[in-house]
Amino acid sequence: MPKTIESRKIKYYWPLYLFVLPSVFLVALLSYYPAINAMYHSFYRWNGEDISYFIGAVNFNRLLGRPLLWMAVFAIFAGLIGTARKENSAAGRFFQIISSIILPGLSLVVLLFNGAGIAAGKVNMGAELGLGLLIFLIMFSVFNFIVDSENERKWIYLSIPVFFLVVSVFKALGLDSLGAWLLACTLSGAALWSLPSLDGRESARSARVLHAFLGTGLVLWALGAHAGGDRVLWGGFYVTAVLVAFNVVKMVPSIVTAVVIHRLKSERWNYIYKVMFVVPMIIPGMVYLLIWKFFFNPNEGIFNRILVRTGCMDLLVLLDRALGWGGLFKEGVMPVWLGHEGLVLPALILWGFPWVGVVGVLIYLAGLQNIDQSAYEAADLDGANPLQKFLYIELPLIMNQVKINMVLMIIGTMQAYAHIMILFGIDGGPNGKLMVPGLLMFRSAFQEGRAGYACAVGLIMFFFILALTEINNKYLKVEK
Amino acid sequence: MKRKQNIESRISVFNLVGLAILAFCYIGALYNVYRIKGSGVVGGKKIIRLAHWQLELGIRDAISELARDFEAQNPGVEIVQIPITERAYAQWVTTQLIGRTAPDLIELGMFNIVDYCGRYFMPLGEVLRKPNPYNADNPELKNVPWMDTFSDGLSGTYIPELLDYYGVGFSRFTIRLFYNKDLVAKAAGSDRPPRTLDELFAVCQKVREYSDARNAEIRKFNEEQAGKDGAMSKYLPFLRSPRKSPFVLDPIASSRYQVSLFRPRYSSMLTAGRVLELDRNFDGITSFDELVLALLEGDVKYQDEHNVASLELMKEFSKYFNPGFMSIDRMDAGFAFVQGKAAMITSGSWDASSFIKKINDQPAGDAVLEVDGAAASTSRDVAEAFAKAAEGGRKVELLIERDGARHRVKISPRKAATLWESAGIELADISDGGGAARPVVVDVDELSPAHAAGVRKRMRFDVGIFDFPLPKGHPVFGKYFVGNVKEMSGTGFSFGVVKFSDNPGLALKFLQFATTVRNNERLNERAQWIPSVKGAKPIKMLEPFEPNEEGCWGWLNFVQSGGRTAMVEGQLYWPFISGETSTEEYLRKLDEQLPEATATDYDNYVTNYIEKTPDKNYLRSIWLAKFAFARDDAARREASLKLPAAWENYLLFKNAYPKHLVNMGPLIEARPDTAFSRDFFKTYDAFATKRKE
Repeated sequence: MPKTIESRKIKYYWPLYLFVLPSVFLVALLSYYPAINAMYHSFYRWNGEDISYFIGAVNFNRLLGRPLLWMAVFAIFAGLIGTARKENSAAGRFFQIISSIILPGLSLVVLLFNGAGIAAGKVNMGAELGLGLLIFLIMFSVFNFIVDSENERKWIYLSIPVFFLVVSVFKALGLDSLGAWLLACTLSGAALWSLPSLDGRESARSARVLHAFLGTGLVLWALGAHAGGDRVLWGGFYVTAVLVAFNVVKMVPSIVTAVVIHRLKSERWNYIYKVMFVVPMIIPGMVYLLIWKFFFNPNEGIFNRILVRTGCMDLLVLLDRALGWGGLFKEGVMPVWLGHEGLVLPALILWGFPWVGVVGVLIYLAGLQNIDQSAYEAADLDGANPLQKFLYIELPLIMNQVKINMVLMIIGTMQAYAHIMILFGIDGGPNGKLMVPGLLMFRSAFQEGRAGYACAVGLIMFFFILALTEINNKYLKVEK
Repeated sequence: MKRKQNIESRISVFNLVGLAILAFCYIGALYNVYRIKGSGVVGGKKIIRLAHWQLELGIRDAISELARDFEAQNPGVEIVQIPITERAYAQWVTTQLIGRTAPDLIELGMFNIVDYCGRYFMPLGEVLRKPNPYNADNPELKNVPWMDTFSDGLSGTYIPELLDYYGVGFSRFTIRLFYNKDLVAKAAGSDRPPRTLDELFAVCQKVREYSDARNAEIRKFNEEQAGKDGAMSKYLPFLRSPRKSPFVLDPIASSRYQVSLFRPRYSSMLTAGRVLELDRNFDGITSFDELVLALLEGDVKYQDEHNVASLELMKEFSKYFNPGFMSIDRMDAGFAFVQGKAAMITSGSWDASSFIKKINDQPAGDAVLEVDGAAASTSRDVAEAFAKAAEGGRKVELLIERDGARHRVKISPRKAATLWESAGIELADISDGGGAARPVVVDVDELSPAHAAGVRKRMRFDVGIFDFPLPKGHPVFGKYFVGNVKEMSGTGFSFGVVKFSDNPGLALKFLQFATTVRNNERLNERAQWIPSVKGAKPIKMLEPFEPNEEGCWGWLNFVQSGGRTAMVEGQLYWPFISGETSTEEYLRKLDEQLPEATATDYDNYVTNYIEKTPDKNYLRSIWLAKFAFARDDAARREASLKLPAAWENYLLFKNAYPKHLVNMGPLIEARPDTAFSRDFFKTYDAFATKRKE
């Protein structure tokens, strides 16, 4: 147990303080000073060099459009985080209802009446419904298979694909994406809070909290799109949100790989595999990047060849026709993964397949090695199969590691932009589809000479990372 | 247990090895950092670092050769070259300059020259006005000011805003179209370069038809092969009978880089007239503020017919580019051309030597010396021998020469009308190296008796270079044609001396050394570029790159370099040019997004002028002081020249805001009733920098 040193005893322990002093100094100098300096300069018109003068909140006004609206939503968001875990708290219920129903509903009304509108232009009803149905079927099957039927929260998992389907129906009826999500959110929020059958159920409380976060997220999306701020920034957050969502899925192969290595009976092979996973770490990131770039080369890349050889290209062409993807995949034409507006984001998501992250695997392995052998013996006695051992022993016991990786992943995804810049250029690719906030920050500072503005972008990113990390830490439960 | 201990001891040894490697690398890195970024003196040697983005063949060797000579003349000096890829060059230079770790000599370009030169580079006017000491043994140039020894008097490196010269250029550049003469002759029937745009598109179309015809043959063959296969081969690829690969040939090899060369060239030919019409202060260019005023007043819009014509013209070109050109690198496009996968490519004189060397380094193809023991002097001899052998149902024995060595191959020809159908080869009578023409294999069918016998085809080809054909008289674009484009004959590959260099004198001395007639000619001969110094002769190959001295300049460009408008345009242009979005859709998106971006950039544009005014005033004061306290007549003369210019410059910046008020004030009041104006002012009203008027 750590022991607190009383102030009068410092004279005996001063060498300890002296020992840590250089580290504290270096951290302060290399981490805190630049961060504080960036905060300071976010209120300046600064070109990174000689021009630097105070302009107040101008940079933030330009980025946020209506800062008061943002602050109000953030205040509600903070209230939601602060109260969500308190059972039977009136304040908690208040913030959840506001976030689930009132804010999304209000946003919908405002969008309807202020001229921004929520109607999409041309709608391909069949394509929208088809895609919605496809997502619904996949998600429903996966959740139905993975989640145990005795799990009290199973209905929440199964509601998620239903929610996606409802959104698709709204989109097919002519609403734009934001409008469809807001309407679906408001209606489902109303249902969650009005259905008497849900009262008193523990799982209903979890569903309401989850829904409240969804509602807040959608309101932030609406603010980004229509509050008059920098649309490039908020478009970038949308891309980042998609990447974060997929990166969560991309964590699974690392976990599975770690479990497989952990279960190897031979110590020698266990060691060899660990070494094999460390070796790729010494490959420079740029080499990795160029190899993948070559994979995606439209004419000579391996990826298109695999698609053709395996017949997947025919399937994609068929899906394109059926779902109206606008000719992303055409017969006899190789898709330009790194150059087509509709393909750059999927290409970035596919990046690094099979997504076995070296650091991730090593962190999970460290967690798995701490599991006591008796837990496996008990599971064997109960007749647990390998999948059950994974779901009920290993996964819960490495949840701390999953949390760590999740935080690192969120921070990494929010900050990452270098690979996008190298592959797609400083303008964020075709139609700016990949203009993530980090790239905007870099562009503003080093291309437009607006370092102060870039600092303000960085500060907004900091708040989002902080909020997501906080949610992750508070709500990703570790049950042992 | 013992085994486990063994494993553990091995692991601990491995750990130590890892630690040792880490320590070794760390020490190595420390030494490297010390060597490169130290005080400029390492091991008693003064280090001059020189950074550039020229990664083309020969240029690094050319500089190294010059550097070795300079080092030999100056013991204790070492020149270190730092080549940086052009994609990262601007960012790299920016971070190095801001971090004060920049090299002594930096190639100027890719970054904001005016801003950066003012802040980080030494003015060179004073030195350039004196003779180059290395020209002392040249009777014609020994008393000539250094700047006048350059073909353009170094006018290209003079920065009017800063009233001085900031760079010394080593070479001159122009851009042209390169073409594969052999391929064009085969596809279009003649290897004569196209002279008009119509002719160029006709050649492109013929190359496309040639490629399509070859692919149709291949498809037919593959379908026949598929017909022979059993049902299981559909699922088991190794059971399939062999198939031919698609024939890859595009009319023009391209990438974003190539588009960036095509676009200003042809846009200028079609829109230069509009540029002059919108030029309010008659300085020959349409500055960003002039463009914004024109847009607000409705004098110009994105749908301007000249602009639309230039967009359509580029789209017409893009039909003949390789698929996915917008996602590949400049190097990949170059490789496609060099490997004969494209008939043409556009690039500058800087790429000429790379292309020609790479093409000539490729296999010359098998030369047929004898057929069945008899000497073969022409392709016809070989074809006749094959026809006879096919009739008789016997094999043909060829004596071929490949890379200087002789080989014998036996081929069983099929009965067919042509040599291609019979043996799967195509021959041409070619003379390599000036000797007599010999039958050489120029093409080999992938699944043919000749291919099975190991016959190899010629990969090298003759390269032609021609100027951009003009759209004069073109049925669609001809009516917008203004004239050919005047090429900047100014020197490029220019280096500036960094202000905080540890050895600025030595850096300057190296520039002087590199720009004598002899050394400049040597450097450019090795690099195969056009020399910048008067009297230095270019090599013969570069004659087609002689610059056009007369013509129009400037093009209708709606973006402010590096700004938000550039970002929006950059994002929208590529989907447009690649055919993802139509012209109407592209223009609609510009209408939607550019006004807001233009408002942001315009505010920055005015703000930048205001912020730089104190600098200009400071510069004016310096020249005033120099004039008042000049030590000699020469210094007073120079100050008397610079002082009025400094005043003018100061007034230009000082008046930028009043000019904005005069020009924009009425528009801010009146709010012209145009869509651009509405969207522009929506952003401008909300976010424009508030100033006291």
